[in-house]
Amino acid sequence: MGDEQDQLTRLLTDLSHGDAAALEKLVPLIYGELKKLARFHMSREAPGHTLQPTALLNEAYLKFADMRHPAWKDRKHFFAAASQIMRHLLVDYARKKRTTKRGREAIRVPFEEAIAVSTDVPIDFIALNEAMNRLADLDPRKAQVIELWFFGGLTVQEIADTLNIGTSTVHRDLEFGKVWIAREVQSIDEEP
Amino acid sequence: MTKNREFLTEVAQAFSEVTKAQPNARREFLSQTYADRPDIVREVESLLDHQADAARFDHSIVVDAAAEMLQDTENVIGSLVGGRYVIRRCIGSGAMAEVYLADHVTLKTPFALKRPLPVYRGDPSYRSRFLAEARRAVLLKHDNVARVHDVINEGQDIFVVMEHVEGETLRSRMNRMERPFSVSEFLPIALQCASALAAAHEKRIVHLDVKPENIMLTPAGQVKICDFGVARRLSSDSSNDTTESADPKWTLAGTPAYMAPEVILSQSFDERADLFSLGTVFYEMLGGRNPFICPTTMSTTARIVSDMPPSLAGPEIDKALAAIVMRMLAKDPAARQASANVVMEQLKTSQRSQHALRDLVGSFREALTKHWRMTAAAIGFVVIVVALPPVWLYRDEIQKRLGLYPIIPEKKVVVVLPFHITGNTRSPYYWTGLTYSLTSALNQLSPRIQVVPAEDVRVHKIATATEAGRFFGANLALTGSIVEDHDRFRISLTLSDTTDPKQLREIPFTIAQSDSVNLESRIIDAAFASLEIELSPAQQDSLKRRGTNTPSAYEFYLQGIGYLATHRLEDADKGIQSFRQALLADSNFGLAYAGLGEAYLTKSIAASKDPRLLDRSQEACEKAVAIDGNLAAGHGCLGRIQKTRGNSAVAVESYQRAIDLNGANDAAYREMAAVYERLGNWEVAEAAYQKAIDVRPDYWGNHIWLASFYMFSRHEYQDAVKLYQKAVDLVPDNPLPRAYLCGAYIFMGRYSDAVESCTRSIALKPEKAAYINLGVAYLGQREFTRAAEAFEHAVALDPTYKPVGHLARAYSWIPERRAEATNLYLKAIGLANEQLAVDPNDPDTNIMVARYHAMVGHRDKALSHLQIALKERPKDPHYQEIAAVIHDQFGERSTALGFLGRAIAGGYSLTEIEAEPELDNLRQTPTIQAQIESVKRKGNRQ
Repeated sequence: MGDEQDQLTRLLTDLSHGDAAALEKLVPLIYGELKKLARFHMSREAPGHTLQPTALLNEAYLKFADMRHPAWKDRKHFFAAASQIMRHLLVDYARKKRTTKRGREAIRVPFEEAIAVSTDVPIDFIALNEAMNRLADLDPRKAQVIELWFFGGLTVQEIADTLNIGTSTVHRDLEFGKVWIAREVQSIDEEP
Repeated sequence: MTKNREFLTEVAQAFSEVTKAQPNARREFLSQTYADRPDIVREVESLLDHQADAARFDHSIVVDAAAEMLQDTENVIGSLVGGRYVIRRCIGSGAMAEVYLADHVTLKTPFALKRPLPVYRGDPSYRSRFLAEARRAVLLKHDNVARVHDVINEGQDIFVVMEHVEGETLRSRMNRMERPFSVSEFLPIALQCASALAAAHEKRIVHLDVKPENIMLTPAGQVKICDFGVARRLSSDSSNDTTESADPKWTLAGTPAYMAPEVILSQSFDERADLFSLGTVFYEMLGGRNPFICPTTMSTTARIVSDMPPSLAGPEIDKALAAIVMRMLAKDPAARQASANVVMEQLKTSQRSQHALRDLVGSFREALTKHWRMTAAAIGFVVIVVALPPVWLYRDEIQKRLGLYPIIPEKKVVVVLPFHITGNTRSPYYWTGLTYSLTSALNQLSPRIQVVPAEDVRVHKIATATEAGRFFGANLALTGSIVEDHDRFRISLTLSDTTDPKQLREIPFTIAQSDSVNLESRIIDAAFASLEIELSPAQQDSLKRRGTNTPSAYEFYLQGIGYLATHRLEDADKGIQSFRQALLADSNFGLAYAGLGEAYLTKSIAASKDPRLLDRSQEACEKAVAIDGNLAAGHGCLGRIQKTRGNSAVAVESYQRAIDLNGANDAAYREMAAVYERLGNWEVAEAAYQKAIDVRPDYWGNHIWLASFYMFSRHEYQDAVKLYQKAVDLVPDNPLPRAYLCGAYIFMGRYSDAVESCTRSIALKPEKAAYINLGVAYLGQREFTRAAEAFEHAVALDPTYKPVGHLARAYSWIPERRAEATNLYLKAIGLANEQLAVDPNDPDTNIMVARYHAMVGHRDKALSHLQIALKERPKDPHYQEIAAVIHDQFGERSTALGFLGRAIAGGYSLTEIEAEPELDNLRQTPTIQAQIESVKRKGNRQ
């Protein structure tokens, strides 16, 4: 386990320094643990009680990571990483569902019917991901504010603390970023 | 990008300011504050429009999605498999299995893990078979086969560990290319595929699911066939394999579109089943489509079992290569190549001949480059880079040398001949409409070809390429066969040389009947491909826009066009019905409104310009233009309506709109010219006729129109003769221009030239008009017997009043046939009266009837008909000349002289007067002689 712990700590540090490849490697390590925790929580929680993914992630990290590690004791890094990982996981999951759906339908149903089938996902995480990438190109801070708020579930105050900016800036970024992304998502969805 | 970043910052700033305002005051505030920045206003407005959508964003969505993801037991991402592989993500899924990308824990290298779907892996008999197959596949090692490394059987899960191949599938390559592979792109891939199969077959492993999705192409150009995990190993006695293949689920759950017929029929099969599948892949690569694929699995399999696809054809595909692929597709395994090794050898031979071709191209290039360098050096330029001309520049030369395939000539005068139709679910009028529509589309899409108008082909009943070549000067003929199968059309489009019955190109394809709305554009596509003309993306796009997406609407529309083509009154009604049905199916179909308008117009003209029908026509065409302001057909139709109404100025405007929309619209130029001609604006008329010629200089009809304008409006016979001669040169074997030329010679008094032209026209095709002109030319020469002979032929071809009247006239000058002449005049009167019963005021009929009556001494009748004619056309010099003849018959010389004088003053040609034997006496009078001299002196008349 020690080896694995070291690796995880290193990856989290790399991620906090903006290494995108670290994320790819982190996800499978975190994910299995996350699933186990989820099953455990599901079995004991009352129906209707929602599963808070950030809380789960927190637990998963605690299980793996050495919280005394200097690079990791900062809550900032944790939230930033958790939001990024959750985003990655959900987008990947959405992609998988999409290919599965398409792949099977393409073969089993006649052509005309296949066209009529539409996915009833309220938010298209794949399009959302693309839109967020576009925003990050234009204004990385705004994209990060959205990521922390949406995928990390952070409050305005927490976002302000994490990014070392004022709460009014967070408010403005959120208000603008949400509308901007909503519009982009729609235009991505409308593309053939 | 910096600019975009700055812009986003500005927009964010503006957005933040604007949202501080009251919701209902925001837009006004925005447009006032940023009046000088319309780009920001536009962007912020668009964002304001999406505020409601933004409200959908909420962290709870992530919570729900995460809950779903974490509870999905199917989801193995992140788990450790076999204690060695960490699954990273799903990279593909099919009907039977999912494929994951996984990392080996200690090796740190990626692998592809294939996991059958629960329905399969839960079935114990499937599991055992699957495992057995996969374990055998581990034995197969070849450069072009994705290795199967390991099989993991863990609890309820099965994973086949395979080599992870970086690259793309052949399927995605084909989708990306959107065109067939060239032979040089095809061969290296094909060879590696055959080689992989050869290796597998050597180990007695049949793949059974060879398809583009299973063929990976690496960035380095290596081919890897994947999925030997479901491949089957043959028992040593392959003929005894029926028991193993008895389970239809095992075989049919795959992709049927590439499956061999014997696999579908569950008979015994062997390695050669893979050859069939690979042959289908090859066909798709070279031909651009899987020849068997249908919308449903049932029909696809039916087709594989029973249909032989048309042979591969294409500019590059030589017969040998096509034969290799077609042999792989033989229904009977015994008729295919004996093994993948044989296929490989055959492909290698094909590749060698391709290399020979490339070497030849290389030597041509070299020679050309040298030549350029020398030229450049000689004139003292320093050549730094010599751009090489593309291969196609000398492809023709190479092909000629190698005799690979016939060349499509640079000059393309194309005739579209009626298609051969098999099947009867659609009316023949539909097919006529399709031919019309596609002919005019071909004509408009590319200025590089001249297309014989469909109307000409129909009127002259041209059915063969040779006839079309002779008649229209077309050097290429496009035709084809269309077979209506139960759910699709099988089309074979052929291009042939009109001077030589051989086919230059044949392009076979199929299209679903449900997709009939695209039938025309597919045929046009194929036609341009066969003509080796590339369409710009914009043109291709315009092809796809047919104005409706409703197949039945388009079918009714084409049927309507077919009815209009006959120009029969009863068909105009059927046309109206068809267009109405088209509009019922799609009320927003502009072309159908234009067609409806044309149909009403045809009907109204037939019914003496019935104003109510004209109103309906106008209503429909206005609707067409309202739906699509850029619809040239709608503007052309409005032009014709206004022309019919006599509103020339408005008509001209509509024609101009049609021309603006499509510069290559020579028909609109001609019609516009005719309106100007009628208005007497001859300068503009001449320019418009000339413009039609400029648009399509090789279309003989355009020369005829301008020539006829010179002849009948301007009386400039020299110019007319020149243009008629030009038309004759363009289509020397078409009788029509020669007949026109003959007419012009008559007007010039060049009777012997006229006789020659008419005689040659008649030799090409005996037509009434040419016989009449011939007769008139003989009359001019006072060769009455010959004239009578010519008119006799005319009467035999067309026993209507005009030829009969002409014959009577010729007989009246032959003393021994005078009596017959009288009888014939009476017969002509009877026939003409039938016409007058329908249209009593028609001036042309009245003037002729007046003349006939005069010739048999009916003075009252002659004069009353003359009066009607002159009332309609008081100033026509031709009518006045006939009036002179009539009055002269009754000895009323002074009246006759008056008419003749006015005819001459009105511009009637002296030559024409001299041509009339009936006027010989009158012409000798001093008054007329003096007038003739005066005209001659002014020198402004022939």
